[in-house]
Amino acid sequence: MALTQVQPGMLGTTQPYNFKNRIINGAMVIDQRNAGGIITNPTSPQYLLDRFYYRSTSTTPTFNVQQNAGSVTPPAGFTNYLGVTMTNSSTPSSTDRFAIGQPIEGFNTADLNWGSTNAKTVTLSFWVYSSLTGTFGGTLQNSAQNYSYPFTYSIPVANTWTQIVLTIAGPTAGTWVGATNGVGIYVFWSLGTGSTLQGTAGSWSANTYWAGTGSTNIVSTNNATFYITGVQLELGVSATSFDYRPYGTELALCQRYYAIINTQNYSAGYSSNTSSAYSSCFYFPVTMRTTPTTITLPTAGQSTGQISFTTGVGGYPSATGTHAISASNTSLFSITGSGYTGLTSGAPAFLFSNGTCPITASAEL
Amino acid sequence: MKMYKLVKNFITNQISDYAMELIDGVPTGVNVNIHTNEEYLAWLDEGNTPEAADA
Repeated sequence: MALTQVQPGMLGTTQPYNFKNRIINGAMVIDQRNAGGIITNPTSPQYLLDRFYYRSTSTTPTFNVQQNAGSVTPPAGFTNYLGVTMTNSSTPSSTDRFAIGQPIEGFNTADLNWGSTNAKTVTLSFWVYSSLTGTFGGTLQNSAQNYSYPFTYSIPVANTWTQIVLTIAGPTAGTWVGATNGVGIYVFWSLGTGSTLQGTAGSWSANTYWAGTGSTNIVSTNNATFYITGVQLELGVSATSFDYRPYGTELALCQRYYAIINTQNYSAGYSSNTSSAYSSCFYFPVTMRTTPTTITLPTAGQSTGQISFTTGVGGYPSATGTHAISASNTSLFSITGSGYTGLTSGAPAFLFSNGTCPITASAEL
Repeated sequence: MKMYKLVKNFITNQISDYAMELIDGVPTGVNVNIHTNEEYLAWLDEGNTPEAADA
């Protein structure tokens, strides 16, 4: 029988479409920087798994972060999680705060109309697992971090995944970045927050709060664990099913902020006709959020894992010089080499990567 | 000791938007945007001055 009418139930819940999740890498699948390795004693601000970073006011306490730390079984439907394991506990002072979070780009939050009378309600959902039980906290903040929504949630059973769902009425006040590449919304989960930085949970405030009042300080317990995955921030008053996106799509979303370009063998280059300087251009995998703040190059040289300009027929120069970034925008960057000997000024040249030589570019918020 | 060195774009003959990071005079491979990199800007705020670019 031909379908003549679409019934409401056929469309699922309120948001049957994809890309409803404003959080990127909420399933903790992408880990470009570490490839699943341990991040020992991260320092603030430091990105951990893609798009999730650590912010703190102090270098103590210390902890390790790892994708799938402790190798527990993730909640049903997930294969990965971000795991924190305390290695040196410390009680936060009244003004200390330690948090893991994600800054969401304004282009991806502007439609929420926060800071206006048309502010829309969102729902934050996530799965957590900890060796501790009790009340834990976090916060949502504006770009200036002077308007915040501290929240609390409960983990009733230790070492068991618990799904948390928080429905948050959009703020009608505060200054919120619109459709720009700046920070639209910060979302943080507290690992420890001093008493003066805790505020009444569940309400907006023109203060810089990092957790709801009464939140447990995970950093105060040695060997405590805190695992999180399935993070979703979506429009609407209820949590819908997790927005699973194809791996390549999620990776591309992450690459807007951090990208690895694995050079190998030859890439094109050219030489200056005025000096012994050489240049080669590379494209980023996707358009970056902004011109990168940092681009890291492999070591210059002629050994495995190193890069060097060569002659137009692939011969190494007698001495490899120094490399730097001569230009970049959101699409590409140029590596320039100088101080070489044994290359001919004005002649073609190649940039040769001896083995796989990763270049990294960061345009994180 | 950490230091930064400015870089000249030999095509435009202008100073690049990126400076090389040096540790004890040796390039680390890290290139920072001199306009937006917070660590570099904080280093400048401490009163430091990068090395000039090669002529």
